[in-house]
Amino acid sequence: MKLNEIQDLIKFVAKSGVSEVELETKDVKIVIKTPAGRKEQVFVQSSPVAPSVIQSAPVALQVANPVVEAKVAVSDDAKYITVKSPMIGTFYRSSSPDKPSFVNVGDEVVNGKVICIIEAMKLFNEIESEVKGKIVKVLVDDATPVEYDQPLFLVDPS
Amino acid sequence: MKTLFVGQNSIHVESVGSTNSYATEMMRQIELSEGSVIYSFSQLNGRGQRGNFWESEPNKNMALSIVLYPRFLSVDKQFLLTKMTSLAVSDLMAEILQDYNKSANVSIKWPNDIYVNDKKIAGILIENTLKETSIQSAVIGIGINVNQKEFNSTKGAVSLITLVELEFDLQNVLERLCEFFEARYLQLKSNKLERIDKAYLDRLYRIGTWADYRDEQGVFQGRITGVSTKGKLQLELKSGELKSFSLKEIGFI
Repeated sequence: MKLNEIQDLIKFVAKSGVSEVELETKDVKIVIKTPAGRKEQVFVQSSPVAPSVIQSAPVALQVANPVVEAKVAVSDDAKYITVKSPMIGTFYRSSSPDKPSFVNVGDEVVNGKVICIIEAMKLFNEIESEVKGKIVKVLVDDATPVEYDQPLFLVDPS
Repeated sequence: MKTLFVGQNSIHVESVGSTNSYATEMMRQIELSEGSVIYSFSQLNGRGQRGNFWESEPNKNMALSIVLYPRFLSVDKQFLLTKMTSLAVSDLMAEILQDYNKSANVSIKWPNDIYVNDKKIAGILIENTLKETSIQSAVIGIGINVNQKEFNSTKGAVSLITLVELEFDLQNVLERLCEFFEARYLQLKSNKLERIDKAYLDRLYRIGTWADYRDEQGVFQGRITGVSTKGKLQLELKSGELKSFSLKEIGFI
């Protein structure tokens, strides 16, 4: 295991809020313990994240754009990319009923970003975006059945 | 551990909400090798199917998530992951009960619950990541009732301790499960699909016997004849008609 991998692991454990993690491979054994009360510190340290959320307020402004673009789409739908279902199953917009949607209209997606889950026979499939762009439309309702190749999202790549 | 890769890299988490969620989160940040196992004996919030929870007392049961990269498997064949995992878990249950000369019947209740007689002893939750139509990674979550003696809410749950009347070494149960899992995964990888299909059907709960089921039209009698490639349950009805059902279309009575 490389040093930077170990550093990443420590960071991950600290953030996860779990008190003790033990990793064992053929050559090494690592035990990471987070002392009681430390969790709060981690939270305090992660507070600088909050301002960036505020900074991301322009996202709200961007939401206005798709509306304009949607009008354009009437004459020029071809510029949008349709994300289709790779399988038959049930379409879910979040990882569980109490969690927020992976993506909403106006969100930017990049290659590899999880956009939905399709479940079939208790197998849950996270679908990653293969395109970069902005979600213009969600074409299917949460928790409804989808067919193979059925359009799920419209993405504006520009 | 007497395996080639399953469990060779193991991560023990003292207590955790769900090992699957933990594994998925970890994979976003650290590269985990194939066969890496994230396990805990105190899974507090084990997840079943959406919204269902797995009831577990601390330090009594086993929860683990196995990381796989089954890129050789296309999306439409993903039910094979359910089959091989159900088989591995039921293989272990059958062996343990045999070790103690218990003649209980181990079966797989479609699609992926492990039963001993008429009660559930283990559950499986598989989460894949897809890119186009191939599976990039799979997190195979398995929960087994081991040393828990009483179950409150769950209808018909059972554990190893209630069956054998002996406390089990959880670490040992984990290692043996990894061995069975690896054997079944290698079967899948080497394309021995007929063997997997046959073994799954041989273990299928209620196969070949008439029983009551429920669909949206009401209660009916049927006899399970098999499972389709995509995982649908196939039943013969009293009229002689053959019908297949997906998960939400049928209930066992």
